[in-house]
Parts: sequence; C-alpha cells; structure tokens
Amino acid sequence: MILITPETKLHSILDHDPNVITVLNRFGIRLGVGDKSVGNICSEHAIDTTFFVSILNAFVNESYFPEKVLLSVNATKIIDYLKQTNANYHQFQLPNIERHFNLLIAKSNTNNNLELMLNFFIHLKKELIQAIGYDKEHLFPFVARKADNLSANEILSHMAVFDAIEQKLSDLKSMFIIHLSGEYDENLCLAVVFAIIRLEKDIIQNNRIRTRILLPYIKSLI
Amino acid sequence: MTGQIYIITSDSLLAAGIKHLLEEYCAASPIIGNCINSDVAGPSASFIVDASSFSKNIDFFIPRRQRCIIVTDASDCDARSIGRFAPVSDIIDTLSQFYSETSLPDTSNSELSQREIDVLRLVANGHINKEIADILNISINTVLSHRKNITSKLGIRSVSGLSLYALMNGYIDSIDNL
Repeated sequence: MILITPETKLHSILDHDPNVITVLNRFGIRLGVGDKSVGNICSEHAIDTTFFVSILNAFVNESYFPEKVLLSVNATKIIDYLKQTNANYHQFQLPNIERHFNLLIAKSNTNNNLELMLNFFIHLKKELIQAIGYDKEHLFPFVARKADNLSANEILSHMAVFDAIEQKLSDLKSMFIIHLSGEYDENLCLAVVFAIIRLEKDIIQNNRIRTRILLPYIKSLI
Repeated sequence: MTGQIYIITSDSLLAAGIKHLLEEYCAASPIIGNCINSDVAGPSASFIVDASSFSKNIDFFIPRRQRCIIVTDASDCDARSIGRFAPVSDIIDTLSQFYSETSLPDTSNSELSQREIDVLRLVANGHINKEIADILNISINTVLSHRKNITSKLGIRSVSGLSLYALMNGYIDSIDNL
C-alpha cells in the first residue's frame, strides 16, 4: 500500500486493511471514523501525529520500517503503545482464538488432531501471558526508570520469548494450512485460522518495534 | 536448488521495472548490478541482462546462455528474450516461466525421507543436534541439513511444533516437552 501521510483518510486505510482497526483501538480510536484524515483524528484525540503515522505505516507495510523516526520518539510513547498492544492480546485476541478453537472442537467431535493443536495453542498462550506479565512487572517500569536494573541477559532472554511465540504461531498456522486432516467445521476453522494469522502478523510487527526501537533504547540505559 | 537472480544493466529505469515485476508477480528478490563475474554469481544464479551488457560480457554469458534472459528492442517476447516494447502481460509471463524454471527450489518431493523421519522423531523426543548426530552416527552438519529440509517441507520450525506434528502422524507416542 502507498505510504500513509497525515492527509490520508482513515477510512481508506481501513478499506485496504481492516486489521488496522486493532491498532487504532490502541490509540482510543473506534469504528465510525467518518471522512476524517489521519491528521484531524490525531488532533481530536491528542495523539502525536508523527508517531501515529509511523506506527500505521510499519503495521500496514511489512517491508517498511521508519526506524529513524521511531528512534527519535519519546520512549514513554513506545511503552504506552506496547502496553495497549499487550492488553489487546491478553483481553481480546487470545481469548478470541481460544473461544473459536473450543467451538471448532465441539463441532468437529471426531477430530483428535484439533485437540492436540488446541493444547499447543494453550501452551503458547500461557507463554505469551507470562511474557506480558514480565513486561508489566519488570521491563516497562525499568524503561520508565521506576524499577531496579535488569541485566542485559535477562532482557535478551525475555525478548527471545516473543520471537519464539512468533515462530510457534507460524507453526500453528502451518498445521492448519498444510497439515490439517480429518473432519472439521469449515466455518469455525476459518475463524480460528484468520485469528491466528492476525495475531501472528501483529506480533511480527510489534517484535520489530521491540528489537529495533525498544532494545537499542534499553541498551543505552544499562 | 534455489538460485539468486541478477538484473544486469546500466539502465536504471529498466532495472527498476524488471525488479518490480519480479517482486510483484514472482515473489523473487533480484539483485541489480551493472557488471557481473563468476566470483559473485554461483552456478545456480540466473540473469536478466540487456543486449549491450550481454555483448560486453559475452565470455561470461555464453556458457550461461540457458540461464539468461536478454532484453531487446523488439516488441515481442520468447522463452529467453524480452522485448522492451512487448505488452506487459507477455513480459510477466516470460519472467514467471523463467523464474520457476531456473530459480525455484525443486519441490517435487515434499514427503519426508526415512532419514528425515528418524531425525524428526529424535527432535520430537527432546534430543539436541549433538545427541542426534551421535545416535544416528552422522555429522552435526548432516543433522542440520536434515532439520532444514524438514522445516521447509513441513513449514514447522519450533521443537514443540515438530513434536506435535510427530505425534499427530504417529511418529511418537506422547509429548513431554510441549
């Protein structure tokens, strides 16, 4: 997609990629965006336009990453954004996948593989929630200089958890797309697959922010 | 074997145009350059080259003729040439055909081999590469190459994902490292 600017209409971005709504939610923007431009919405919601535009562009264009701009943004804004992102995973995306997964299994009662795949997901979910907890208890307070120092090793192994989760989501996606067998409810199965793909994409985009923006900033603190 | 594709021309617009078409329609990642030699390009490399670069490097390109597409001033395309004035769809067809012939990995055999199944089973049971090498009496590099092939055939990389796959397909009985 062509790069988003402050003049771009918000609804045209959503037309192109409806998943962007989850990003907008993190800034307090909800559906019913009207005919407003990105710049207008930002001044209405008191959002830093430059930051907002960079986040949207990084989300929409997988091969584009406005590293320089994001590195110049105040770390508090990055942290706030990641907090909202974590909340979205924890409260919406993870429960949403699990709910549909359970329904899928209930409607496909002869397929044992799905239960194994659900176990795999539950394990991955626990790992992600644990990492989100670590963000909240240790990493974010440390970046805001409100908590004790963390060692470089601790931080790197924490960051590696998000990479591992990204990998496992991709594996789970392959299990559906490449290896699914037996009877299953097609409609619910698609709901699960789409939700997994959406979470995977979201985590990939946010891992870029973590490793390329947050990590260099943290290294400067240690 | 997967090979890199090179666009060899000093015409920047031509290079940008071909690169765009390859990325957009073939999901290829070509490298643009205005000269080439065998130190850079391995035996599996392929080339899209304009007529003047071709004649300047004729000693290089002639032995690699089957791995080249030449860009000409014509208005049509064939299997090994693209006319600058040909319809875009014809150019895309030629590029796509060329790319799948010369640059895509051989995917004809996507089933796991017996040796790959042996490795998968050991990975799924929680063995590290060094242990797998010892048990199967093969080198670590061979283990790594089997694991790479397993991942590209299955689309699964994590150990827990591979364990699940092995369980689902009856290669192991239970998982304790999920």
